[in-house]
Amino acid sequence: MGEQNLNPVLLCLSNNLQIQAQKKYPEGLLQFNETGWRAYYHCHANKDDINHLFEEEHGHFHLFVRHTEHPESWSHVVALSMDDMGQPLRWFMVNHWVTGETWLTAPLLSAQLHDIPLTEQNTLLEQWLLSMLALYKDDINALLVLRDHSLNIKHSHGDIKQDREYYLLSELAIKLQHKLEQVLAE
Amino acid sequence: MKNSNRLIMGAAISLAAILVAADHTKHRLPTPVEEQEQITEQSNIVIEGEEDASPCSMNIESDNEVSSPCGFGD
Repeated sequence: MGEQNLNPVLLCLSNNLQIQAQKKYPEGLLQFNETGWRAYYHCHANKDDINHLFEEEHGHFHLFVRHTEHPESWSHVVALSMDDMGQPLRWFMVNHWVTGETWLTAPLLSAQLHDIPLTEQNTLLEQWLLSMLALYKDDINALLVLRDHSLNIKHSHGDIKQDREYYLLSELAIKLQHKLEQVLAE
Repeated sequence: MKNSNRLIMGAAISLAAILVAADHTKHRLPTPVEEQEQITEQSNIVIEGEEDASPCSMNIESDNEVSSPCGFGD
C-alpha cells in the first residue's frame, strides 16, 4: 500500500479523486472473497450532519458479518473511522437503526470474531481491514459489550434500538503505532 | 497445515499488512462533495433517497422493517 503511494481509503476509491458524500465505496461493496464479511466506506460532507460523528473524520468503513446459522442474514460488527490523511482514527459502535441489519448481541457477534479469514485471497484492502479487526479483536469485543450496556442504561419511550436520539453507543480511539509496539513486545 | 502454524502465518500476514499500511500511506483525501455538486456525467453515482432511511444500511437482502442509513445498500 505504501509502495503504491496509497492508503486504505484511496484504495477503496480506486484512487478516484472525487468522492461523493453518502455514496458507498466501492460499488458492489467489499466482498472478502465470499468468506462471510462485507464492508464499505462512506462519508458525510456536512460537518453539522448528525451522521458526521467526529470532527477530524473524513469518513468511515462499516463492517458486516454473515450469520453462520442464518446465512441470509447480516449484522453490523463495527465501524472504523478514518482521518483526512487516510489513517485509522477510532472504532465505534452504532445503534441498530443506523445500519438496520439483523441485530446480534455482543456474545453472538464476538463468536464471529473468532474466525477472521486472514487470507491472501482477499484484496490488499480487505486484508488490511481484517488485519485491523484481528489486531483489535479484544478491544472490539469490549466495545460490543459496552454497546449493549449502553443500550440497557438509556431510556426511551419506544424501542431504544430504533430511537434516533441515540446514534453512537461506544467508541475507542486508535493509536496504531502504540498498538503495534504492544503486540511486538508480547 | 497445523492449526498453530496457520495461526502464526495469519498473525504474520496480519502484522505485515498493517505495518506496510502504517508507513508512507499518509495522503490527503479528496474532500467529499454533496450530490448536487457532483459532475453529472460520472457514471458510478448512486443517489441515496430517503432522508429518514437508516444512514449506514447495506440495504441488500434486507429483512429489516426500517431502512438504515449505514446498512449495505444503495
